[in-house]
Amino acid sequence: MSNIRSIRSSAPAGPIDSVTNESTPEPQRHVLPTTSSFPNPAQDYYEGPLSLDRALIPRAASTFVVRVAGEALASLGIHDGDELVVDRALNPRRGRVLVVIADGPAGREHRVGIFDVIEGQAVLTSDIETIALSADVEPWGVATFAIKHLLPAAARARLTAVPDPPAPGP
Amino acid sequence: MSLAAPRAAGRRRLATALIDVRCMFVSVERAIDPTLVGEPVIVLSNNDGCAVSRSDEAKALGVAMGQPWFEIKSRPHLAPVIARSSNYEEYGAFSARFYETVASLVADLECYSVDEVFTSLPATEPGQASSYAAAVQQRVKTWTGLPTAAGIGPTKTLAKAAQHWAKAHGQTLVDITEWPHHEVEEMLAATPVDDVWGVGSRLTRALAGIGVHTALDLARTDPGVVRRRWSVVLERTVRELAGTQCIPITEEPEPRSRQQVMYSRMLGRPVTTREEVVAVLGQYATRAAQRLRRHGLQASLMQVWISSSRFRSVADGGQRHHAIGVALDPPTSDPLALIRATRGLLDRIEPGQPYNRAGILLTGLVPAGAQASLWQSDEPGAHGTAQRERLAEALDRVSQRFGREIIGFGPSGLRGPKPWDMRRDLLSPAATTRWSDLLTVR
Repeated sequence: MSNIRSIRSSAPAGPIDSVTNESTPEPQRHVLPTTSSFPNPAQDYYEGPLSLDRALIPRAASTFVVRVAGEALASLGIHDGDELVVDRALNPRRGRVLVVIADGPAGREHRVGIFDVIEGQAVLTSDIETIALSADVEPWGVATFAIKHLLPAAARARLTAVPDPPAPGP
Repeated sequence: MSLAAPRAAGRRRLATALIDVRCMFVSVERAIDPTLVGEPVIVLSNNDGCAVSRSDEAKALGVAMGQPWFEIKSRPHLAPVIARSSNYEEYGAFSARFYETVASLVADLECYSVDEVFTSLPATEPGQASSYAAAVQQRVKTWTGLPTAAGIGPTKTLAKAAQHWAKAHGQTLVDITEWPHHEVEEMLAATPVDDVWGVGSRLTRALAGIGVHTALDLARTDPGVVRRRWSVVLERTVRELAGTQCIPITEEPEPRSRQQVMYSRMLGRPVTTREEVVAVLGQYATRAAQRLRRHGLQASLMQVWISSSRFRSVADGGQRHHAIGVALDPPTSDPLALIRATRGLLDRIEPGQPYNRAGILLTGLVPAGAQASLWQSDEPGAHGTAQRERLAEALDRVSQRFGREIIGFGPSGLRGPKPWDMRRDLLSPAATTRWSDLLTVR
C-alpha cells in the first residue's frame, strides 16, 4: 500500500495522515513514475505522452477542424461524417484537397474538392461536381489530415462516451 | 512644448502599432457562417438585450450602438437586420487565434483587449512600418478570416489616435509617422480630448476648465503643470501625444486587472425565492473560485450583492439592492468557503422580490499560499483545508474535461440550463470549439 503511494506521488512513504495533510505538490508535467531508490533512466528523454494535437495541428492559429457532409470525397475514402483538419495558412497546389467558399443554394458555403488546373483554368473537382475557381470563389484552406471513422456510429458512441460540454451558462 | 516630428527627429527605429479586429463579434460570426458576409449583421448583448457589435451594413441602415433588440425588431426599415446572440465561446477562441497570428510576425505583443493588440514595428526606412502592418493584417485575414484595422504612431497614445482616425475615415491602415508635422497637428486638433486614450469624462471636464478641449491643446500643455495639478499618469499622456514614448509595450496586461476578480451577471429570468438565490450565489461563487485558481490567487475579501430591477416603480416598493462584504481569513480560493460566505446575504433578501442581477467581487488578492492564517490551527479542522483544496482541484479538472455544468455544489450543481441562465435564443453554433457543432463542408 505505502509502496504504491510512493510510486504515485514520489513522496516518502509515511502514515496516511501525512499524505492527506501535505500541501498539494506542484503539478509536474511529463514525469515518469520513479521508485524510491533509483531514478528512472528514461526520464531525461521522455517528452510526454503522444499528442494528436501536436502531431496534427502544428499551427493552431490557422487550423480548423471541419466535418464532411456528403460524398464529395468518396473516392478518397472520406465519407459523410468524417472530419478534415484544414490549415488556412497553406497555399493550394495541384492535387491538394482544398476548401473554398462558394455560392450555394442557401448562400455562401464551404465546399471541398481537389484543386486542379485543367486547360489553364483552376478548378475544384470532386465526386459530385467540378467548380471553376472564378473570382467569386474564395480559397479557404488546405486539408492536411482526414479523421476517418472506422466504427459504426453506435459503437463509436459507446467508445467515446465523453460528452461534449453542455450548453454553457453565463 | 512643440510636437516632435518623428521623421525629422531622425533615428527612431521602431513605431508603435495598435491593431484591432473590425467589429470583432460580427466578424467572428461571419468567419463561422459565410452566409452573413455582406449582410447587415448585429450581435446582441447578454440576454439578447441590445446591439453591441454592428456590421458596416447594419450601421448604414441606421442601427445604433446599444439600441435595444425589441426596438430594432419593431422598425420596418430594419427588417433585413440579422441578429446573433453573444457566442462567447467562439469570440474567445478567435481572439486567441488573432493574438497568435499577430505574434507569429512580431517581436513584442501586448494583448490590450479581446480584439486589440499593441506591438512595435521596425520603422528605420520610410514605409517600413506600414508594409509590416499590412503583412500582419493580411496574415490575420488569411489565417483566421478576421478583418483588421491598424493605427501606427510614434507612441501608444498616438497609435491609438491614429486608429481612431482610421475608423472615423473608413480606412484600414493609417501610419501617422509618415505624415507631415502639420497634418498630425491638424488631426489632433480635430480630436476631442475625451477621445484621447487615458482621458476619462471627469478629466475632460476639468481640462475644459483650463481651456484644453482637443488632443492638440493637451499635447501643448506644460507636462509639469499637468503632473502637479493632476497626476503622473496624465503627464505621460501629454508627453506621448507630443511624441515622446512613455508607456512601454508590456507583454502582460496591466496589473490593474489582477487586483480584483469580478463575477457579475444579469439573470435571464428574475429569481424570487430563498432557494433560488442560494443556488444562484452558489453557482457564481463556484465560477469566481475557478477564476481565482486559474490565476493562482486567493482572495481576502468578498463582496456579494443581489438586486432587483432598476426600473421597478416606487409603488412596487422600488429597487432592492442587498450587499455584504465578508473577510476571508485565511485568504482562500476554496469554492466551499466562498459559497458559505455568500450565505450572509440570505438574511437580507426579501422573498417575493424579483431579483435580476447578482455579483461577486473578490479583492485583496494574494498569490496562493503566500499568506498564513491569522489563526493557524493545529486542530483537526486544519486537515479539512488541504482536503478541500484537493476537492476544489478535482472539481476544476472534472468540469474542464466534461463541461462546466457537469458537477457542482448542492442546489447549483444540477446539470442542464437553469431558468436564470443567460438567454441566447439567436446563438450560432460553437463551430470551432465543440465537436458536435463543427463547420461543415460539402
